[in-house]
Amino acid sequence: MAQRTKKLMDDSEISPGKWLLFTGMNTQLGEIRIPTVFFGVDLPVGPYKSIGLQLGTLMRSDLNRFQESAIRPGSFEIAGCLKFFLHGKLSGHRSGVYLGPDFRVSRRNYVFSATDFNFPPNPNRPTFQTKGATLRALLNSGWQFRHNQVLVETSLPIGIEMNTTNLPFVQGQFFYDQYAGRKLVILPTISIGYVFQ
Amino acid sequence: MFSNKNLLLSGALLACCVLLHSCIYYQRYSMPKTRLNKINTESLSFYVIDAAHPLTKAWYVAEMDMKNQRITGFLSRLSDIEALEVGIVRNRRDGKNSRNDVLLYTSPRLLMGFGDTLTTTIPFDQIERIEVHEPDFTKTLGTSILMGTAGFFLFGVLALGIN
Repeated sequence: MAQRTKKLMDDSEISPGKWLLFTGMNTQLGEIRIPTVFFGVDLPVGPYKSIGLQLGTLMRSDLNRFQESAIRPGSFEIAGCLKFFLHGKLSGHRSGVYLGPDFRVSRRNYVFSATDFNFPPNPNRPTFQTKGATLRALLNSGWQFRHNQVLVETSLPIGIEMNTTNLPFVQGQFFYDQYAGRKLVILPTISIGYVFQ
Repeated sequence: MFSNKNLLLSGALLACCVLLHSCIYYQRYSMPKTRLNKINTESLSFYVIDAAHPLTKAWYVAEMDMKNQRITGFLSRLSDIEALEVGIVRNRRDGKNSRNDVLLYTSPRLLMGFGDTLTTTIPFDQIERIEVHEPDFTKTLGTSILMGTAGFFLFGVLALGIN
């Protein structure tokens, strides 16, 4: 009547690598989805911790007559995070699961316009462009699968974001509500990477 | 006064906390011998188990001291039922209660002459394997996220109904 046992390595003696190079994509869940493609570097600090840095570019979107806002090229995001890998206090085994804080600052270029539901659509619909900044404070939880030097990572940071824009304040305007003030943000992310030993 | 929406949100958070707390899964893991010198033994219970008869022959190690690749201590033999309790983990609660137990599966040749109580020294090379119970983090976090997401959508639908 043997119990099922998993054999584990003592990861406290195994080098997690000198640095890890990532590339991946995330998108914000909600009414406004802004996919971001990023490159990142992870610097392991000991066997169970690492510091991550990311630089991402927000993918541009096109303004159509049903859409009040779009992202223009030149929008970018810088992120810094800490990853604390959960590990067994007795076995020393490092699991692929990690938790940690994640802070993101982005500079965004927007183009706005009122929606146009008329037919035929107005070809000279007025638009205006503005800039905005976003600060996100998130709690990151993720899972990292490593096979030799290659790794795949998926994570689900959840937190709040604070937006500031140069928009004139117009209460009740859709774009003002979406791009100003604080709100909950969920940011599913997937990435692949390579470990440099 | 709290509105219905706030009460519902508080209820959802409380339910999520209770669910997450009860969703820690434990798994039995094999621990490398090299870890023995690195762990803090203060809050742990060590058991010496006969690798050939793991469910009936077990000793509790008291006054344990670990030095020079050897374990020294006072061994007290467990009854058959107690040995079974130590050797078998039936559910999550058992796993949680056993998280401070270290099971040292030792060569039957060494344990052959052991009585019910004795003070002895066991060299590390006589230990065949070591087993411990630890949280299965992948399963725990995966289940928590799934249940949290389901709860979020469920209470979201209820909140929409109230509005």
